[in-house]
Amino acid sequence: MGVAAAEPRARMLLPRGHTLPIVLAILLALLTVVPVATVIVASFRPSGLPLSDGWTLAHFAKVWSSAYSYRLVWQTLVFAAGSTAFGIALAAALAWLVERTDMPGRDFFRTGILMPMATPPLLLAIGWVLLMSPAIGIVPTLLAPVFGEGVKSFSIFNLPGMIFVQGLAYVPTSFLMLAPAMRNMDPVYEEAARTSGAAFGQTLRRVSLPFLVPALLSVTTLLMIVGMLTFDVPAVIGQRGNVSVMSSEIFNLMNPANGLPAYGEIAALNSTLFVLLALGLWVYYRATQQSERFATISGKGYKATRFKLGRWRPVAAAFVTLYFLLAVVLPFLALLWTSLVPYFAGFQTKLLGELSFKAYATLLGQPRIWEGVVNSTVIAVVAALATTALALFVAWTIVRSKLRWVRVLDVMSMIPISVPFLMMGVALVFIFFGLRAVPIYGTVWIIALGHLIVFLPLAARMMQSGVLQVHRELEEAASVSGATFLQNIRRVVVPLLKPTIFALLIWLVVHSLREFSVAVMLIARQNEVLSTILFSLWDQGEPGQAAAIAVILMLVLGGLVAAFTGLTRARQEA
Amino acid sequence: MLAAEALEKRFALHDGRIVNAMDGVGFRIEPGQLYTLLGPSGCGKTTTLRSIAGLETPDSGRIAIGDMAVFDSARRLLVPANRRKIGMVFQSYAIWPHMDVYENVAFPLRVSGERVREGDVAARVAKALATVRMEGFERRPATRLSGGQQQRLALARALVMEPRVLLLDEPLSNLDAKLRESMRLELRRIQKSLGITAVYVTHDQTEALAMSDVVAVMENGRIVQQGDPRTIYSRPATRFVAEFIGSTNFVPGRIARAGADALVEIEGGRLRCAVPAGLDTGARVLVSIRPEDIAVRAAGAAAAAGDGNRIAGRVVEQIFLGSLADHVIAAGGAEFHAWCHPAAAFAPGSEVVLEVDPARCIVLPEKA
Repeated sequence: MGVAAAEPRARMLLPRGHTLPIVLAILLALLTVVPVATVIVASFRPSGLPLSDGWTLAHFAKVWSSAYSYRLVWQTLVFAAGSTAFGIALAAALAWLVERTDMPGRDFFRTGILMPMATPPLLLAIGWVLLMSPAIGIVPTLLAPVFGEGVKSFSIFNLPGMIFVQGLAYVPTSFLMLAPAMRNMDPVYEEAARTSGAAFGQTLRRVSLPFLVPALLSVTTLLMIVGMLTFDVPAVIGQRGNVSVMSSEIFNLMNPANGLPAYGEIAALNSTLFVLLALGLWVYYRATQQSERFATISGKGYKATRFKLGRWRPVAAAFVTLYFLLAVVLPFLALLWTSLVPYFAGFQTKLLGELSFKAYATLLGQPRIWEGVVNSTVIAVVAALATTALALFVAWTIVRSKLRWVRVLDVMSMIPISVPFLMMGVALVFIFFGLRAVPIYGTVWIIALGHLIVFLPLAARMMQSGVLQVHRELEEAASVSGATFLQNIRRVVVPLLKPTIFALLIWLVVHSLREFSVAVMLIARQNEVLSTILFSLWDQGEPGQAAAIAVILMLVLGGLVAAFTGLTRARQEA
Repeated sequence: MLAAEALEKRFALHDGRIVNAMDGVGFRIEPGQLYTLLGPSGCGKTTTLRSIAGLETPDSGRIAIGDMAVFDSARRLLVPANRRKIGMVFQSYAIWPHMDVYENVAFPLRVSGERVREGDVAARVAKALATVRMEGFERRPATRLSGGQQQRLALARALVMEPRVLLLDEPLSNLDAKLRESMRLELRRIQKSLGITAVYVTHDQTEALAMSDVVAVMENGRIVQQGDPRTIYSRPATRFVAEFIGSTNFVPGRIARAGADALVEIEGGRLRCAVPAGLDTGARVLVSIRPEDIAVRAAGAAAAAGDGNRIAGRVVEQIFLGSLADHVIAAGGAEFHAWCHPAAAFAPGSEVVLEVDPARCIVLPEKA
């Protein structure tokens, strides 16, 4: 019985464990690196198309010789920074009240905090336009009899208005990132500070806040990036007041009144933006690495001591209620009202007798709507399934592989976070307009592909935290028991990740259904989706029908979000 | 039954330092033996076990289980974990929470290449559960088991395929002290009755001494001593082994006369010792004396029969530990710990004489 004995079914040493990471690396390169490279290359082409000939710097020269471009960048930065600051301040206050104080109804609020996910920025913005339009908005018409005609001139079609609405839209995401940091903080650190003689304020400033810094840093960077590339609020509110930011400028250049789009300038603008965003991504990456290190210190299972609010309890509850009014209830009521009235003229009692479902009937009588419903559903389902599957393999590989270079997969899967959704749309147009071998241009599949790419970073992150929660030995036990790689994935990994997978699927369906910025770049005749139909009806002066779609969409999304909340709770309690 | 040769594995730490997890590890385990890898954390014992399992790939070396070579770097041979036909019990037990007890045990049968009929699955699961005394728990969800039950279930799952080798990675470390003692006996009973070859990894020396046929003590990726528990305890080969297993006193000294009946010069006297070969007169050494091998007598009391070592000293402190009294005694330029029956304890300040059998004085090279 020596070492040099028979070796039934042996294997070569090197290839083992390399196949999957290499396949994923190629896939991710195609999905994330190629689109970005396409736009960058396009910005140096005289024609502005990536596959044409010649090189030039003319597009950059044109863009950066105009003072307008600098104002554009400045307005974009103000918009992004302002809405980030407003959104985080609001979310931090809410998270603190819900997680660290004895505010009444905090459990109810914690469950409800996800509901605004059903109010995508596009609908939120439309809702606020209906509420606040000068002269004919619901709020001015309601208040005018009391405060006089003066209130009718108040406008939100400016940067502060955009910042306000965008900030509201940021709250759910910020809350989701800040609340765990507050919840998981081991009170022993605070208790140690208190017993060392620190007063409450000192403890908060010197001990509690430093623990939150990584989470704050990471959410700030993420929102700054999103703010620089979001299009919904700039499209609905900014365009009305002629306040342009980079994303709306790109949209306008892609849809000129006549002639071909100025592809070169668009690409140059995009490339510039990308440099700014890549910087942001790098900061985000560093910040999240650090926050994960902090998370391992704190661990879970601690019952944090709650701050006694005393007589401020009703004030706190009122503050949280106000947020829900502004972020969900009022916009929804505005949309509902608009979908029921015969013509839009703000709130007038004489319209009460004329409410009807006519807008819904007209809407549902159009084949275009039903095509949109089918397209949206197909895209949402396909994109959600494909993204989840890809995220599962990417996350599993990143967490489990012992190869050092799999970190590249992590970086590649995060690239889309620094790419404006509009720009991803432009990139896909560039690629598939010319690529006749893969005829998906103008079909639903190009939109599904776009959604797969833009949602991949979040999906991969969510899946990574899911895989991290599965003890490595559970998989090793399966290997030792004789399970092959696929048996291991099917019988152990997937069943254990079921709550994460379901939560992610619902999250993806919700975000795919409400997504607007990618789709608006990729639609042609045959592949309109609900959000783009809604926007075009809105743009063409059919607020009643647009609002009807919005109401239906919000109800569907609300149901899905409720399911998501139920699942994430089940996962936390498991 | 199980043989490993010249296993090497290096890790690069985050700060760039290189760590030798295995630095020429080799051993042979005879059929039916319980072989223990014992050492502090980071000594490479777990890496060695995981290399046998196929969960870790050594940089070089050879491993054979029975007549099957499972790893041989020279021939670029690597059999993946799922084809090594081994049973393994993990430190965390790794019970799958989404399956009940029955499905956990049946899993290896279900994923095995050969199709096992459902009737056979049931029979083999029942047999494995009976072995670990878990009959009647088949439909219990895995999440509703106590620590000890999870431990038994993990063992049943590892045994259901009747593997040639059973690997145990600190299986008792998550149990409380009382349960650990009873599981220790139970594990040993099952292993002996099945006659299965087992490799056991632990950092707990009591566990290693109580259960093993052979103990291999590891330090910095090397096996520094291997032998049966009694030999390891009474004849440690290095200062590390003497210190890691049990408690001991070290007395610094110099060899005055080498040979079978050696003399070691210590401060204020000489000790007669058994000296391992290879140390010459004049070599600086440490003499290791176990606290339970020291007899403490009142100064002036008559010497016990024989020609044992006698060192005069003074009690510095006495600590009552229940079953024994630990005396700290200043003698021969060192502080000795000596364990006596509590009834025969000496008060601090007492002048005493320490008596030690020369066969219990282990001479170790000062640097190892």
